[in-house]
Amino acid sequence: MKKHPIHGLNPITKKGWRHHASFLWTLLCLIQMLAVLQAASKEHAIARPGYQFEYPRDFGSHPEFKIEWWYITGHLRSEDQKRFGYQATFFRLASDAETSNENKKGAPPDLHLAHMALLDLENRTFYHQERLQRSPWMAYAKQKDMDLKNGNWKLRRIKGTTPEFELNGSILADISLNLKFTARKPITLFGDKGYSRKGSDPMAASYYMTFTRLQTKGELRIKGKSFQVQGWSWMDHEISSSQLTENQVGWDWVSMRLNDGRDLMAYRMRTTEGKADPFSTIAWVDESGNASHQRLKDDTWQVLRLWTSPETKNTYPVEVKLTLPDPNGDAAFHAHIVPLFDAQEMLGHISGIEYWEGACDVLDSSGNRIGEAYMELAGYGGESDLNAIK
Amino acid sequence: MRHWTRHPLSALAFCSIIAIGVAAFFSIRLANQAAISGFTYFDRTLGLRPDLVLTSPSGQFSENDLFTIQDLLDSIPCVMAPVLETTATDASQTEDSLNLQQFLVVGLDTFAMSNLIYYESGNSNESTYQAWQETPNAIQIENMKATFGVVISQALAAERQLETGDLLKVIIDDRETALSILHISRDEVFKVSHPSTILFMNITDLQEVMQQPGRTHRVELYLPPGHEKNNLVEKARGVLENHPRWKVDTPETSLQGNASMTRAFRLNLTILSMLALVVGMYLITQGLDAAIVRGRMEIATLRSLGVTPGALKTAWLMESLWYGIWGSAAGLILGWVGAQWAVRLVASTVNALYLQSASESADWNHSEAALATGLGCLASLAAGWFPSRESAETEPAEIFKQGRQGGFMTALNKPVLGMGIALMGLIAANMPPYPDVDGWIPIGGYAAALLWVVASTLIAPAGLRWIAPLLQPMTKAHAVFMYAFSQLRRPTGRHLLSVAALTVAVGMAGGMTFMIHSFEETMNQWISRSLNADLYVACQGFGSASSQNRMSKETWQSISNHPEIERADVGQVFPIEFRGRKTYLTSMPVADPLDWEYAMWVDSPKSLTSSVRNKNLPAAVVNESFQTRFDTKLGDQIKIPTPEGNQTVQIVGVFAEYGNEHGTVAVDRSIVSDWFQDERAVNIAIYLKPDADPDKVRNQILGTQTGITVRTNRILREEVLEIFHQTFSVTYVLQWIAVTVAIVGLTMAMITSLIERQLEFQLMKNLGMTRVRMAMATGMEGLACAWTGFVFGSILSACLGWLLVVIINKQAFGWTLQSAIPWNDHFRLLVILTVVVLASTIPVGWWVSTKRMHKEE
Repeated sequence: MKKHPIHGLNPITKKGWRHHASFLWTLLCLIQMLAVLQAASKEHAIARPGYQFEYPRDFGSHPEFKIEWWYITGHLRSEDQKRFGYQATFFRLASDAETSNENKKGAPPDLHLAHMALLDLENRTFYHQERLQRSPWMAYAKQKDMDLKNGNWKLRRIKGTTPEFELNGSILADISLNLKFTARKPITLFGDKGYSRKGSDPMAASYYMTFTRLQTKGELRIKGKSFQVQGWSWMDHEISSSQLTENQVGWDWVSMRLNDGRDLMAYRMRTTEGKADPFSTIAWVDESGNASHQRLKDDTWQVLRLWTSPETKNTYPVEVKLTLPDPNGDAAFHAHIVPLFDAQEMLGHISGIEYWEGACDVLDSSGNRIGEAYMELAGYGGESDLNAIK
Repeated sequence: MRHWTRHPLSALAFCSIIAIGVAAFFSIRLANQAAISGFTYFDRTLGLRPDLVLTSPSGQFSENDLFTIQDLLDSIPCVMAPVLETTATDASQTEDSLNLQQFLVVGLDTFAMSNLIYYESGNSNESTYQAWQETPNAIQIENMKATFGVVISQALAAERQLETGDLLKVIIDDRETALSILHISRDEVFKVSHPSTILFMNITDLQEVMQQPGRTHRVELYLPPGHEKNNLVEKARGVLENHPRWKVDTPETSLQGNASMTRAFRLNLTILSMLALVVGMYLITQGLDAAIVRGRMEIATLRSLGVTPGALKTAWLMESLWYGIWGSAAGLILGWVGAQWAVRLVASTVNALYLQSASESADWNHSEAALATGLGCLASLAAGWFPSRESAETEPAEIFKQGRQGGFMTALNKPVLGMGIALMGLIAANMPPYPDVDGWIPIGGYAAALLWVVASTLIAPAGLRWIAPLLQPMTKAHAVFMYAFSQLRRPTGRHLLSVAALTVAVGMAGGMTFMIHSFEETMNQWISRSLNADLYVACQGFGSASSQNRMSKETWQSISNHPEIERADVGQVFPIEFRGRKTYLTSMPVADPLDWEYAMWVDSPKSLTSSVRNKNLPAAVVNESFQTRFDTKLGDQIKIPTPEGNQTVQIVGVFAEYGNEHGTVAVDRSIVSDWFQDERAVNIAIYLKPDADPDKVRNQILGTQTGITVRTNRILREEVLEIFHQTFSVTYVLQWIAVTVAIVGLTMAMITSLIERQLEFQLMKNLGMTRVRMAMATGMEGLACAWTGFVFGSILSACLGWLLVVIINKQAFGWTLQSAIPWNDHFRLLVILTVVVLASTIPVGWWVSTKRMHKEE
């Protein structure tokens, strides 16, 4: 699980918006909405158990599926130990039924949505931007290997035997990221050999593959100042046509890179009753990249602190404590997830999807730092936000 | 302020004169600006302007170009937004006119542009959400595959009573298309209204409607905000520059391109709009002088009491400035209101001659307002300068001595100096034009016009003295004549100034009429010689340079195959940029120019010697404007930009044509179609078989085709002339404003003059002259002034008309026009002038003769 599907960029009803909006945005969004709606109703392939993954083919795009995303987050430190967190996500949304229209001349191409965010911890500033493109010259997700573009944002695999990747990104004029990644663990397939169920509906599933440990090096440029950085990143690639079921209202998701060499991924699908859906999962990833799964129960995920966004007024449970069985011993594993900075909210300027996605530290029950995490909190924007997510 | 309180009516009159002048100037400036900035409407609505605009010399981009641009931009963050524009006509309009109102349809990459939300500070987030709220309306649209979404303005919705979800049927090219209204844009207070003639669509939809997949007219680049923005703009410019397929512009240079395209037209209008202000200056000068004359005793007393000349001068100048300020303020209000009306006239002319302008209302512009106010105040100060200097610098004893004949205005009576200046004007007229980015500027011609106007101001007043001997025999016939014309032998400064003002007004207005009349005569000849086909077929609304409607190949082939048709000449037009300037590439009706039976060759293809002709190159013929603008000659080899690169052609002929001032280069149609991969036609000229009935064939064609109009030869000629007159509609209005101001000025001069002569009138009454006779005498006096002004104004108009026709038009546009004097217009003006002057001066004479003298006088 990670990065929800965008089942058509649906309308958001927000009370109290001031009615001084410019004509342009109305125009743009309406026209593009029509185009999306025109293409939203047909059948797409669905994720099924037993899929045989093949690389580098499966790093690339799967146009027969409705939605697919590549997600990469990480913690970075500059040479003078300044801390940064970043997120880059590339979505592909099919605009046609059976297959994507990429490279088909004359047919409406796929939609490409992308998010980019950077946390500058020292300056306590969170930068973020969202992009939406449909033109094939502006954005693409190529098949057969990872080669993604959305304007000048690019994520691609560097050709070679070792899985290595490269990210070029920017946020408006003043931020740029140029990072290279080398996988220090093999690829992990979550769920049943990569088949990941998200709900009781068999359709609510995805193919889910992840590099949990990517050694990262590169350069950040912030307002004219360059920083040579290094750290660790986490990269998901998920392929789906449907994820949320009717009774689900959102999810809380976290990825952890623990100092003991293990990694952990957990998601809590929230139901309309405010409980964890039975398909909520915890996955431990060992040093070899093998995943072992546990069911995430209601009492596993304990909210410690809420934060209300001054921008959207959404309230997010930004500080949580996870208590779960440790596969390496009898004692319970305690992970206290503490955000490095509260205001790491993505405002969804274009898509309308507001969510919190932030760099966190992982502390043990004694308060010692035992790892780094990235947490995602989605579906806290009320009914309208839920519509957008669904 | 004493004059204001003691003579409120004359103060009001001065302010009104300034107000009219400022209003005329301001309204035309605003209307001009609105008309040429119509294409930037979208940018202004957005509140953002692209940082760079890519335009192609061939007028269009291919999809491959867009990939290349994106590759070059590589790591530069920017929003790249292709734009496609076309025109459409309202399918419900039954009017069959060349001048049919058209929509400007703008196709946008709405996805790309939605990313601009980060570029607009403040309300972007809310705006987006509001937009999303509207989407249920889109869902309700039935049969979505058959219709395309469109966003229309509040003005159009109100005009046509349309609501969201309704269908708007338009004709794009020659096909009727149903557009589903997704949204109606609401006007915002204090912002320019969204014109009713602009429609927004998704670019891919528009490409589909136009059957032109992948076509783009321009590419706009928006660089993100931030400290690094300027560096990014320069970086983007650096990687995109010097590419043969496109030119990198900024919105400013792009706007300048359109501005320079319409420069001559706007300059003419601006000059004309200042006419009222110039004529008004004469009147205010005269009015202030009258006030000074009335206040001479007071001035003399003040001087005797030790008030310095400087203080007196300042006082009078302050009074002038007050007129300027109040007049300008009123003028700005009047002008802004007038601009809302004028913009439609100006925009329709711009549409007909230059480019598609969607403007329907003019935006308030602070700098134009400041300019107009400045001009108003300056005119007022200039008008008050001489009278105030006169009042200040004359010694008290002189003031008493001078009486009413004195004053600086007699300085206008300098015919010899005037002749000298006129001669200088003649020399200036023969100066070569100045080369400019977009063509030639006839600076000598403009200088000559100015010098001749000044010269006429100095010569015309002397005319009063010259006509006095001619009227001598009449003075013996009746006492009325004797008294009336005796005034002209010793004309007051006021008489001189009125004549000068009238001369300038009649001269400048008449000069323009001369030019327009000559143009019309030439057009008539051109039309009668060049429009020889029996029927003309075009897309609906195709009647101007701005129209982009085209006929599909299927349509024009189907029409051409009609059994009654002997020959069908299919016309194509592609706007291109040649040597950095806009011009047109058109199709020749024949493959070989030698076979083209055109009646108005300037240099026939037959005159080109065969040794010069390069048979390996396609032959091209150019019109006079092209030849002048690009300084080409027969035999030259030129490179024409096309989507596939430059193509070399050889110029083998030059033809006369008055369709546009930007020039036309014509090449065989099959070659042009091949270059642009576009076989759509703009029109077809149909020659019928000898015994065919044009009306019958017309009806048959209309019965089988939709979205087109078929005109007979006679109707087309009428409509062309109708458009021609519409083009000059603003000109006519401005001319009449100037002449009206001049006539009002003359009347005011007469009133002032008569009031000053109350003592004389009393004396005449005592000598037994009746009121009727006195009134008649004042009428005669006014008429003599008016006619003098008219005679000299007519001479000036002939000179200015010649200058416009022979020098300025030829140098600026390359048009050879035949001079034609507008006798009827001149006669009409004379009659109106006579009637108005008599109708105003006789009652004034009557009124003054009935007034009792003040005791002190």
